[in-house]
Amino acid sequence: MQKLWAAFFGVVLGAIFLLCVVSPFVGWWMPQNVSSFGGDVDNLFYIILYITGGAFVLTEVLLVWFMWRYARKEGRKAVFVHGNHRLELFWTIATGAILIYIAFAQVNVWERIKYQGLMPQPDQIVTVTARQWEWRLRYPADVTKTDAEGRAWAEAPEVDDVRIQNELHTWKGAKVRIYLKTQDVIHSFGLPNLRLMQDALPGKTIPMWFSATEANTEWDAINFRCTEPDDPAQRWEIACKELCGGGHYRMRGRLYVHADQADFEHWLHDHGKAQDSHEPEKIPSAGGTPVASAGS
Amino acid sequence: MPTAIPGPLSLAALERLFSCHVRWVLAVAVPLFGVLWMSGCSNTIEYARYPEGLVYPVRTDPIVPTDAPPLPAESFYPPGPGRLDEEIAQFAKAGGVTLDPGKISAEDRKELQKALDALFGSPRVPQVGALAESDELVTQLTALKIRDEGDAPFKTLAQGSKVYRYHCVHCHGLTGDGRGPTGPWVVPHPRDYRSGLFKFISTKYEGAPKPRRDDLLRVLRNGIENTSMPSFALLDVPDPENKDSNRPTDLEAVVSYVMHLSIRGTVEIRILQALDSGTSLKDVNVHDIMTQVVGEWANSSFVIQSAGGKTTVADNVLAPAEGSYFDFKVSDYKNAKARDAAREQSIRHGFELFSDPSGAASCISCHKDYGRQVNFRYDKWGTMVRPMNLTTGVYRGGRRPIDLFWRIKEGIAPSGMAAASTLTNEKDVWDVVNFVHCLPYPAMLPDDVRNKVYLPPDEAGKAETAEK
Repeated sequence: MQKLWAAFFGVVLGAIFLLCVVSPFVGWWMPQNVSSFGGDVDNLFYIILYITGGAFVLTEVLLVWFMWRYARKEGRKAVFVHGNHRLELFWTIATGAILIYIAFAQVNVWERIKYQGLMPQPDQIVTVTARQWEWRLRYPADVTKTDAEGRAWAEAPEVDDVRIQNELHTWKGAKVRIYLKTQDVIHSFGLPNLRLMQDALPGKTIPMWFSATEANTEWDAINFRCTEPDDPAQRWEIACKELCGGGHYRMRGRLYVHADQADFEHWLHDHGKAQDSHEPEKIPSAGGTPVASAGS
Repeated sequence: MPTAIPGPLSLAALERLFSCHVRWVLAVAVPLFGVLWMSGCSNTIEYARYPEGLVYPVRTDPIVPTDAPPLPAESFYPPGPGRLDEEIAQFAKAGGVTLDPGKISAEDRKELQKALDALFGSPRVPQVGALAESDELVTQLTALKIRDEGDAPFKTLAQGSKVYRYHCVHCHGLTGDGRGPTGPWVVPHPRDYRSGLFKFISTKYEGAPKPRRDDLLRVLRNGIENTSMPSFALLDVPDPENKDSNRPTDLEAVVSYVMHLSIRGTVEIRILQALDSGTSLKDVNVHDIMTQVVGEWANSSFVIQSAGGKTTVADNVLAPAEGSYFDFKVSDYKNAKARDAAREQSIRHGFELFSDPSGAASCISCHKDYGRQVNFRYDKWGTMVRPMNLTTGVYRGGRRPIDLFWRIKEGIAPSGMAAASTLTNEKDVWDVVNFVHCLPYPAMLPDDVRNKVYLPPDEAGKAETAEK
């Protein structure tokens, strides 16, 4: 009977390990990486995964094997062991060394992504304001602003800013500077495809940057919408990564990367014009023909 | 060796409880449960339908039928989140009329339930009218996109009800009453569709104006800034699995469903009002009332003309008169200097119209201190609203000049904002639009206007004399 538990643990832990091994081959792994620094983040992820994965396999194999080998047996008496000083010294120093290694290995990447002083001069700036439960984005009508101008602009909106909800637009290769804010509680601006995530804290404006290496859309001025990639994996998501309330699940957005700056500016210009409209325009609708064509 | 405790909780009993069988069951059940748990993980949302047998309940909460909501007796603040009923009770105390639908007899209630269910179906199978209706009604419903063409006319409504159940019902409620579980906790309270009143509309129709379909779509796409209504624009993305079909997007479908809820609610209110005034339910023609309400929606959205056996549908949108406005941003405006001068003049005139309490528009008498002073009043739902603080740059009905034009020209009737009917010249309306549009951005205002709006009164006076 006691060996049953050993078998049970062995099967479940083995299944978990197997699941991790097959996941990358059946599409259950990380989403497509389209960030200029995404590869570095992934490398760190893999380093840590291999270290913890190795430790996991080692400890679980030992656990199961000991459970099996030393299961209760009639007539065998247990031996009391007070511990092994050398062994403990070894694994404390070994794990300490691993932690120190990780700390040094990650700092370059962290500095490249998060250090405000080292962020490159932006090609494009955007403010993102989180609120329960959506992202409200504000684009300047004049795309080219330096960081210093951008910081001032983030706090003082202008009349011709283009305001969009839940859609982050940029173009391939642009160095984008985001000024992240929140109106209510703590949210977290997560872009899985860019390997980027940043908490939004009430009362603070937090700069972050990225550069996308691939495009996934094109501005369709006639239908007044961006083309949707056929492949669902190409539909890049913005997700709130901090449980922020009842509608947290719905706090999703989309990342649209245009092929070049001209296409992006075309999109921006058209939205600026629509926002400055003095005429009741037909809102272009995806649902087919407008009301006027109905009737028998 | 401890003695075993007698009774069901003894060690022996516990040991029996975790017998070999139980362990085997656990060993199988736990991983199985884990696998089942993970099976729900998917990128696309699968909307479930409402359960079978669920019906729209007949209304029980008070109806606020008054056309002229009273002003609060003294300065009064909304009681706050979670106390919607208290707020409406205060309304009655201040002299507002409310009607209690709880008073009707149980028999009438049963009959009413039956009559409404026959016309509007259930949350799972929603409909407006029966399968076979008069040609006129079918044309109207089809043009409103509440009915689909063909043999299965309520497919869009069924799709909309699934989306509504997932995204909307928790605030807006099963019948669209704004009393879903999270509804009372957000301020301003979620819209109650049943009265058929909506704030941000853009129709020429002067009867009982309803929103055009585009108005509802605009609110859903953009959300309403500084309220709890978020943007649902992503529901407007075509379904990747159904790319070529004629299926409407989820957003289009949910608009149709909201119209269905609103029509049902309005019909219900009119019947309850008839019952309250002493008419017996047998004498009320529910179908006629529905036809009338659908007609109001249709008239607000479009004009159907029949000539020579051909039916045409024309949009009934309120458009500004041609040439009534300047577009200050167009590049081919004569020259920058003339453009800026024209803009300054327009803003200044708008400011004068806005801020003169005895003038034609006199916006300032409600938007006290440009809205910076809180000035609560009742709206037609019996809850409290305040004129917007226009210096913050938040426009709930939309920030396009045309949105502001609609708000100023036609007012926001349900919240007590008057239509600027005294501004007979449309150019004046645009001047106010230009002023309101630039008000949150001091740099956009001419110096004298900026001083008057943003400096304390005594300093503004000084600045003016200094200028002279």
